[in-house]
Amino acid sequence: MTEQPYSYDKKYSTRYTFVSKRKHGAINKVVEFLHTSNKLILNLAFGDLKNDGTIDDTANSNNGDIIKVMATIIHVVRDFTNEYPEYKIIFTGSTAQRTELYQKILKTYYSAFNQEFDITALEEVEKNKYEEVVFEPMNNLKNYVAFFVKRKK
Amino acid sequence: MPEAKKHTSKKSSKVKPSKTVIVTKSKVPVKNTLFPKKQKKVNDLLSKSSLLPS
Repeated sequence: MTEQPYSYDKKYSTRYTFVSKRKHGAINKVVEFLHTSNKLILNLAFGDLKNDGTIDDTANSNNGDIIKVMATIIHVVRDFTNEYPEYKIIFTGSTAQRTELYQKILKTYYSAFNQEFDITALEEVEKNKYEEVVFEPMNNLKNYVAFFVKRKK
Repeated sequence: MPEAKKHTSKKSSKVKPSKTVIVTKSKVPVKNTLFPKKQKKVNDLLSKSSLLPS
């Protein structure tokens, strides 16, 4: 991804913030790494910080800077995994549409990401049963429900 | 004058083996999350996957 990222603040090791500044004004963004039920997997969450201090992770800000925002998140993931390379990071969209967007981004930039990260995905293999599978960027029939990245050794 | 008794405590020379407690503390600090719904969603997915909680 060649787009220049926004500069970000690291509130503490698991929380980053930055400001999206485009056509609808400034929108505060938060990226957070959360613990999961698997101690080796952290959950990447991302959303808009509202004025009341809560998060909206379903908002479609439509601020005209989605590529720049995604570039910033990738830089955040890079920064975090530099510090904690042993963790696998899972991310999924708040909606199916957003998960699809993440899949498109991974597909588009797969060759670059694949140099730095092992990329896998979570796929529904039968009703309510999921398995981690190799991410296939060229397979348009795959509808993954989540994605994993882990720093290559 | 009677010799003062020396108080000697009977300390065992053997050190009792302490119970081994393995603390598996994550390197990543645990903080209150701003994303409880997302956390629940991902934990639900993981619980239905082969990536069993460890």
